[in-house]
Amino acid sequence: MNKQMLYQILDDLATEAIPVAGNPWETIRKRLNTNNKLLVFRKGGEHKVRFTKKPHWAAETGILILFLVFVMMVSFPQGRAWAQELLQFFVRGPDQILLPTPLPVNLVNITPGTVQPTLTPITSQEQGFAFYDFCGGLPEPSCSGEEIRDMVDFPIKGIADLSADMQFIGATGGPEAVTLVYQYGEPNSVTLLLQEGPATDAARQAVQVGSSAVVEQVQINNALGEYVKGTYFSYGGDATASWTEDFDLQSLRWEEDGMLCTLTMMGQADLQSVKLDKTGLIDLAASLTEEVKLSPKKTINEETESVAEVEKKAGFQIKEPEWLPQGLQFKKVTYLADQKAICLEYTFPVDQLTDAMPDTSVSILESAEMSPPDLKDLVFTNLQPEQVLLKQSTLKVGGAIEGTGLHAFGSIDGSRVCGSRMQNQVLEVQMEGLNITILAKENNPFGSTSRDWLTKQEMVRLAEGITGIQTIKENQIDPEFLTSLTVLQQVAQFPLKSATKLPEGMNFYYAQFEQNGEQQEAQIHYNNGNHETIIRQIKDSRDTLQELIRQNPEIYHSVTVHGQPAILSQGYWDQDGWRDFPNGGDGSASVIWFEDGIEYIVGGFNAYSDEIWLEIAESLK
Amino acid sequence: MDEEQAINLLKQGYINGLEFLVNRYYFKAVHTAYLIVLDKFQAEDVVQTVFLELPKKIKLFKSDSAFKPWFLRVVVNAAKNNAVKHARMVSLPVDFENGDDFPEALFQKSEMLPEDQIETREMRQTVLKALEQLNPQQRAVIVMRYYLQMNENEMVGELDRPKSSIKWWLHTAKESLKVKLNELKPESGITQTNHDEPDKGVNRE
Repeated sequence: MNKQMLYQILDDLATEAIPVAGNPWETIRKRLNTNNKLLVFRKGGEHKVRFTKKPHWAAETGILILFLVFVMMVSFPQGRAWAQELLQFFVRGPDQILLPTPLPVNLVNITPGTVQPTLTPITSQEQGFAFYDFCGGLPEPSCSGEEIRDMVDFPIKGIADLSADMQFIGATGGPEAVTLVYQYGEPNSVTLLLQEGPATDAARQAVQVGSSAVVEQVQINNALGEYVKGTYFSYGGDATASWTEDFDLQSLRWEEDGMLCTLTMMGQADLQSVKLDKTGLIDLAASLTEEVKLSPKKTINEETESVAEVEKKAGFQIKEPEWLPQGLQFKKVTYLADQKAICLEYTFPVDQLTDAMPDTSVSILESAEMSPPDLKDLVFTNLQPEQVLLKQSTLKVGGAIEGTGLHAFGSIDGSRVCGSRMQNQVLEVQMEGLNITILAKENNPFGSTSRDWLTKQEMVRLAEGITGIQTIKENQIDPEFLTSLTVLQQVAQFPLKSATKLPEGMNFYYAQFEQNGEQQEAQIHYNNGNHETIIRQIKDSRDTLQELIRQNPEIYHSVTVHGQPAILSQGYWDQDGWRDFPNGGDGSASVIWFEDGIEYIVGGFNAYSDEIWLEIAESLK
Repeated sequence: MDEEQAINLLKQGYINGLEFLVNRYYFKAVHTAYLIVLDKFQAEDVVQTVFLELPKKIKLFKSDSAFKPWFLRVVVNAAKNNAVKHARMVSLPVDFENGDDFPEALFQKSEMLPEDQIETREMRQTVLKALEQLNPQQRAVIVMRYYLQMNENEMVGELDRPKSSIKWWLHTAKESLKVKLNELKPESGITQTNHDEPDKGVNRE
């Protein structure tokens, strides 16, 4: 049905119900003349409006009686006992529970160059929120209080008095319940979730806690609620989860005015401005009010200064790059008085539906006076010197003094200058009259499934976009981001293999090629929207399989691929040692073997069983 | 008298101005209200009340903008509020529920084939039933978008709500309408037949 057809049907429906006939003015005029009218007309004079108020005594009395019954119920000992029986927000279960068995993974045949459909929906991303497309999910939903209030037909309360180190992040949810997210202190140090929704039978379903959990009954205004500390905890890949009271997770549930509320706090209770232990949470719960405007910290409409305004403060000419990577958009410019510099921030596309403002992807620090920051001033402050990993190189940059810039990546914290903590690569360039520092995420460092990182070549192009001297051609091949297997094969000087079987929904994403002396490495990245599978092929690599097994027998297991000896590992290190997850779970997975002088590594996020990884490895042709 | 004169007269308290506006906009307004409240009598009451209050509200109307969209916004809001208030009391006209007294004039006027007429009639009833199952807010955005043919930006201006709210309302309304239409389709036997094309599934000798 198209729009025109729907218009016609609506018009027909309305016209059929109320035909265009009769004299409507006569009806209106009669109503104007009746004694019962609200409006008294005086030709040429003032209009007087008479309001009448109907008493709603019946409804009000009914509510009052219900309220008195409730007060009596919870005031008298027997009534309170009965209320205690009723108000069970948590229910005891075993201390150890079985976790759901992961869904089986289907491997499908792959023809290079053809795209298999992406599996939808990816429920882990939607997190079960009906408003996900509009408000995003946890931990950083993007809807404001005003927006979420428009989406549901029940009242939403929020925290009225936010302490200085606390902020409202955003809201999401569905028609049955919404979740407001608050954060305290440093990003993600303490997160507070407030879930609210009508107290329906479905919503009242008690939350299971361990048999050893200490559930305390508490009072929130006139309502009784329950408080518990702890959670069921498991490592990825575990078949069971255990109730852990020591975990920094507190939950408070109560029902008030027909609404069921759950306040969950993750993180340390002792904060600078407020103590959010049991008492602190109860006080917070009691102070919730509808009379609060919930404005997220990030909105696309946040007021920012213009380049001209900032330029005036800085006292030098700001140079914006003439070239930007595809999709990168200007976010804001700020003057940093202490650094006598300005900071240009850029981000990859915003979500047009939610107007969400994503984190800064690229920052450019410009100063006419101050030299680019010393690299040691850019690394994370909490690292010991021996923990700092920095890989430095000199890159050719057109228009720069001496034609070069200093590039580094590793333990860099972009927020120490003007960016985000996720930015872990930097390019420092000095040109006549201006010092430039560019910060960005490096080479998909966290296995991200979205393109919000920059290659070295793109960093240089950005710098040259500022100096005005471009040395990189428009369609020059970027070895860090090759868009097809054909181009990868052209660049690599040895025959390459690719997977002929992959998990359903997994597709070619991009490829990379790197040469270090005689050694060449080709990487093929596949992606299914959730995580990556990577195939690495290294020419002139030393065979260290036996060495690896001998040194780390708990990590590597001996297998065979294409009839060759191979090793396989799945899991990760924690404080108790290596955790092995042969059926998939947290950490990473890799299958390594040598064939015709080439080292092959198939791996990625540990999402599949040993058998699946081996089958992918065997499918390489 | 033209519209501008009528509005000026009404602003000065002259009833003649109201008469002009009633004659010009009554039916569009009452049809708009009907699609939201889904009750003929309530729709008429809503619109008549809006007209009765117009001499007072007209002061809020800025003369440099168009009257029709401003006025229809007032109608939409009044109808929506009325529908929310009477949510549990909405009654369908008997003729639509039973289909007994369905106006035949429309079909007689047209040159449609009998099967097309039945199909169109069933489609209308299906849309009506689907509208019934939406909430008043959803019906209001559907009416604004598809009956009053406003774009999203105009709706943002008219409803004074964030664009994301409008998008969300439209999205839920459209999704609900789609679901309801799909649920109702097999029951009413509606098919998307194109009578200009021969039936490819039948061998013709």
